Amino acid sequence: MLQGTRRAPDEILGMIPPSGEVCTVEKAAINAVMAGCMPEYFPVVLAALDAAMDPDFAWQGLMSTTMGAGVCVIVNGPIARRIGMNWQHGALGHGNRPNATIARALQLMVINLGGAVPGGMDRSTHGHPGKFGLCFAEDETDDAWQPLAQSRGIEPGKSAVTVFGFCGTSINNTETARDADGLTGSLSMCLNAFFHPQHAGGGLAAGLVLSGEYWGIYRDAGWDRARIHAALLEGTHRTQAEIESGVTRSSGGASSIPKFDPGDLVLVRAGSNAGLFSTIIHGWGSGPSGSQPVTREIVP
Amino acid sequence: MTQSITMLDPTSEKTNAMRSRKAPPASLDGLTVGLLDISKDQGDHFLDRLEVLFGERGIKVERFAKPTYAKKAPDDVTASLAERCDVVVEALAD
Repeated sequence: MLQGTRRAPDEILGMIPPSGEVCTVEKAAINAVMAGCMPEYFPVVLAALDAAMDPDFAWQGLMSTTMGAGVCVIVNGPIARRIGMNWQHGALGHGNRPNATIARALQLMVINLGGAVPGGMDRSTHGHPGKFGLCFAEDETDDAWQPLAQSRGIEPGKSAVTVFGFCGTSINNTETARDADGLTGSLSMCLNAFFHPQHAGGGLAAGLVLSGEYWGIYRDAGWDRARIHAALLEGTHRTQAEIESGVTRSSGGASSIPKFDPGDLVLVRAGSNAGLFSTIIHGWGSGPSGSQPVTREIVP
Repeated sequence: MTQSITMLDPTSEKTNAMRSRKAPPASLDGLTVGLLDISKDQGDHFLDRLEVLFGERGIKVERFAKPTYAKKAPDDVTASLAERCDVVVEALAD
């Protein structure tokens, strides 16, 4: 595993939550071996680890919350193809070694080094299958789609990881939305149901994974990432009357209340080109007081 | 034929020092109680009520807050708790 990096085995990478034990390159490598990684995945693991240790990610909170959060790792750039990652059929599921093992390595580190044992320092009420580790590559095969990493400041041609704290995924389907506006309305309904239909006013993040067919509807209408993002933010505004009772964060009586703060809705392209589906990656508490997605360039 | 196997440890290979829990005081008379709000929704309601109840009994109370429940308490908050309080009540849940 150490052949996958030029970094010294005894280099200290940081402290692993919740307990705050020191992690060296060697300890990261041991856990990567246990996860089933190959040496060529190790630069991705190290970049994801560096991103997860950024205070903005609030990894300690994610690993100890009752909400049962885990780490989703999204890979962009040439390394995804080079190490054989999957961004197509079943990308969020089983059957591909780097997809299955990269985030798993991080989760083993928080167990073995950080002590995040359920019922111990991991206080998850339910947990979720994604706590084993969710990792996939973004589909960058269509130049009309701006990859996630580029939308977050990484230069084109560079490889990067983005870590996103998450509490499970849900799949959504509509086969009646045939144009961009209709699809936006449909996806907005699904996003408004995320976490709880009466939750509004920001404070929670979500990832939205668009399949090939859904992206095709937007692409054919001339929409790009920015326009889809803006339309979904607008489409998830609701009136006070629509969410009258049980709101968890009052917006002070505003007549049009957003579901999301703009930075909390993260769009990603993955999945096969057959199937009118999207997947919502359920985030956690967001913004400066919660967990923010963090992106790091992958250095070989 | 014998084969040599090297086992590697995925943990930190350290054992945390265990400290015994401080014995609870027999009485709160003359002590200072810290009330720590971790910024969970409505934790302040619980602590407001405790402050009233402690006040009715003549017990000194000091209030502290974490900026967010999602991250550990800043060092100055934990240092102040240790320096100024004998007992702490932490409102953990909403």
